[in-house]
Amino acid sequence: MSVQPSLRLRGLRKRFGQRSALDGVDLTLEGPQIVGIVGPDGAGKTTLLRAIAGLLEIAADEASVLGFDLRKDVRALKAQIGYVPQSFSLHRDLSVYENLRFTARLHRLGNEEFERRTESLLARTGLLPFADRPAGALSGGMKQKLSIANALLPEPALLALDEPTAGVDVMARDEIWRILEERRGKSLVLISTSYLDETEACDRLLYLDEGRVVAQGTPAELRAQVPVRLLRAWGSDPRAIAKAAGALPYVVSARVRGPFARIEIAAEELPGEARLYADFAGLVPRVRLLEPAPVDMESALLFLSRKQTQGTSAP
Amino acid sequence: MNPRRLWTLLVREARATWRNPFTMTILVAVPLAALLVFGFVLSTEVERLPLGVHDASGTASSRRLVAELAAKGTFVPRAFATREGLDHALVAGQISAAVVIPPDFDRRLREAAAGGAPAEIQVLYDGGETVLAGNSEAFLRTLALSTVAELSSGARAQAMGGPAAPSHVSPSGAAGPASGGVRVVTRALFNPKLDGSRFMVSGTFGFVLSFLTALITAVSIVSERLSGTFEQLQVTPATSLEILLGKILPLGAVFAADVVLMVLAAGFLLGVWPEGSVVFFVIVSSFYVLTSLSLGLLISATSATAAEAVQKTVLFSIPLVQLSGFAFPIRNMPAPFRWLAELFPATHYIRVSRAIYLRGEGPLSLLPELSLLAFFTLILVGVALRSIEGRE
Amino acid sequence: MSAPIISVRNLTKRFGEFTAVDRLAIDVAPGSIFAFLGANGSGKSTTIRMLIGLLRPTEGSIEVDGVDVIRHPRRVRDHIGYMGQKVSLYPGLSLRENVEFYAGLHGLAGPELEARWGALRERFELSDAEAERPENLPAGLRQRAGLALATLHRPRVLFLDEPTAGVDVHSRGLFWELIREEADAGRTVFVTTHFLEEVDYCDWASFIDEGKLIANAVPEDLRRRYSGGYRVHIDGEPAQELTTPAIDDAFFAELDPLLAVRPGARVRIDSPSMTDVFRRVIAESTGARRAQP
Repeated sequence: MSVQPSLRLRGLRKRFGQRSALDGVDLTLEGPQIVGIVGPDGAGKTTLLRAIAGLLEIAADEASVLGFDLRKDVRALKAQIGYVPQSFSLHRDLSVYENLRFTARLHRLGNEEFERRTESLLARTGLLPFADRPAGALSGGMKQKLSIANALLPEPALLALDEPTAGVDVMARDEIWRILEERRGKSLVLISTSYLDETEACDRLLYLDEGRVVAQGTPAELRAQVPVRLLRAWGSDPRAIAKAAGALPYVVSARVRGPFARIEIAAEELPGEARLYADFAGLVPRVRLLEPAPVDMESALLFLSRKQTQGTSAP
Repeated sequence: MNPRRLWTLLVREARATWRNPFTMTILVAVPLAALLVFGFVLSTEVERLPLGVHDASGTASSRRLVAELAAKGTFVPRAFATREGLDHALVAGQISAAVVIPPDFDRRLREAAAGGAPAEIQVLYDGGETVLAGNSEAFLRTLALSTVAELSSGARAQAMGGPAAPSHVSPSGAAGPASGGVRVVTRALFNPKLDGSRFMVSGTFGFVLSFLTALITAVSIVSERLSGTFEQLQVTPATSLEILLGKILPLGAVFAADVVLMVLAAGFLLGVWPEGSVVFFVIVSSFYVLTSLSLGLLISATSATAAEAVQKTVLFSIPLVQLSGFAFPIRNMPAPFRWLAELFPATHYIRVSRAIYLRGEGPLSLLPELSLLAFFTLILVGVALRSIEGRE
Repeated sequence: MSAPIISVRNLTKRFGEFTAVDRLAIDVAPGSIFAFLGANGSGKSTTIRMLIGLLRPTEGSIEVDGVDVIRHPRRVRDHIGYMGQKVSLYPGLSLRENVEFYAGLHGLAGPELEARWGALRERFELSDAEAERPENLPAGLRQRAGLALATLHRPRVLFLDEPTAGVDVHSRGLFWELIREEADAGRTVFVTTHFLEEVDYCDWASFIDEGKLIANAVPEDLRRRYSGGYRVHIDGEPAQELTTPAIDDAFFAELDPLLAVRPGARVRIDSPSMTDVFRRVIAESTGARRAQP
């Protein structure tokens, strides 16, 4: 692909009846990369992906995807886009191989080209032994892998994946991500996900809330924006420690996470280091070790969701 | 069985049905549309039908009879001098029905009035034009009876029915009641007013209550299975019987209401009221709804998606329309299909429905058909109950 | 361990030639959160369906809260609450009406229902959603409502099949806090998930693969067994790296002297992620299977 995939949206809006699903999305993306779309349930992630895939009638000040205008005829755009919806939408009665051949014919792919790509895709997704199995008889993880292989078959410049790993086990997720990794330098991949480790693997993240992009950047940039200090308090009874720590006035949240208590403190309310350590040393039960930890994606996303809730709770 | 649990299930189902605008529309629109289409547009009204007449008697009485047949505009009589000519025309399709008046008609009529054996007229018709011929035959019979009754008035003897000589067209035909000293051989189709609407309306109940009920039930249960609420129900203390009743009683009530709606619509819009008791008809129909509900349950048990349930219901409705006697008389079918038709509960219900609508029959005379219906219902409800238990 | 509240022995389910669950044996301690894990198609849902009496096993025994589930599949229903992969709230009915419906099935009504639901409504933050129909609620809230309904009749055991699938991180956190509260109140929670990091919220983890149990232990024991252990970095002069299988008293006994000579030194601990732990569980099991055809 010699042309750089690009996307420019300004004031993208979509209403379903009375409900506004997208409320002025501004977004510019240039070049091949993996872009994660995150945000609370009902933020508009699915709608945004569908709009970009040219499936929705939208309103916008500017809506250019791969150089095509979303407000006009999008048929030519669709030939260059791979879209994987949240629910399995391939032909259940066709075999894995037949599904792929069907897609290849729709895209007028030559036979030789089809065989070559299919073999490589099936091998990489681990679906080769199941090529003749009806798609409806595949397990959840295999169905998703087939959907992605199917979307990749025409080698699209833009790939839109709606929660492709929801309800998928760790091994199938790893395989899906191996395929996505191969596209990193070739396509613009948009993927919504609720797995934190997957958001870390993205080049760029968009945080959507109430139909707008309210934060974006690399995972590191997003984490750096978060005015939160993260601490891990270790001791023999992490549950009791979390409870005791939660009572400290500046602690935003204190939750047990296996062998330690995970404690978030709002940066602006952070007391001096000495006071902090003294407070934790005085907790009952005893904190054996207080470990300052780097802010992780969980804290970043939780901060963003809290910020939005507080920001919009006023009538 | 716990009444409170059952009540909880009933209330939920009723609420869900009431609040589903699509279901409610279907429940009102489909019966009305079916009534109007079948009862109005497709009604098999008989008009200006070519009728062959062979008057071998040639007396005043017989001529009066022929004139009466022509008077209503339903038939256009055509006289045939010989019986052979008449038969030939009938076979050739030039006439749809024929009346043969025997040479001794006048004499027998007078003897009958004096207490002798009744006079006989033969009605022949083209078995190919099923509905039309069936209707016209009944009409002919009625006309003939009333005319002859007038002819012999004043000296009427109540002739009690004995087995009549079978007509050569219909060896299996049943004999109609004799009256006024005349006997017309006829079959078991009664529609004295020769009213196509009445015939179709009474059949439409069978069609709607079989097709629509099974469809709505099957789709409702499949949707519940898919949404996960059915599985949730199965892990509550609710028993299979309660779940089953909770599903079919509210739907049954809805369809019973549909029966009343259809009776009223047929009455006020088409002017067709049952000859028999409306209450009896509604009770029988509500009972039949149970059969269809169970069928819907069975369809749902074997369907993975709502679309599959719809397809199966439609598939099942094709023989329903063709074999149940809704559109085509069963007696004209080849024997294997006649036996097959007897296996459809719809066949029996449509028979009962027509008996009440057309003949005004009551529970006593319908007992055999009603017991067959009850038998089918018991089997279907039993199988449906097992399917809902659903423990692989 | 006190007497198990769920006890499964030799549990086997075959569908024709295919063995979905193969001689499973598990014990679940009362009041614990028990994570039941495995890949798609590994037999998790089949097992749960057998445990709650919806599916008859081919072989084996199941006892849940003293009830022989195989012999009395109906009797167990008053003892358990269940939340399937699809949250089973009726669309078209408001949340409140859904509550009344499920309560009615358990014979719960009047002041008793009001008291119980009132408390749940507060704790689960459902008050604003009470009049809404479930189809208009965001997934996280629907999930919480589903959990509230499953606990309404105060079951002794809760079965939750992938309760957090497709739910955002904030709602997942809230959800697990509620699950922990339920466990603290003495309710046993049997839960499946694909978010393997959530295993750290649980007291026990079982992992099945092709119907067989391949790991069955306290999460920290799985970390010990299936990872390189915790890597600990101590700042100061000189900086020091050490590896420990667990952060426990033995480790602190080793750490304290090291910190004593480096006043104010920062300690950084790299914890093996549960996702990596289970990657290794699966890899070892697959390797063992290949080696022994």
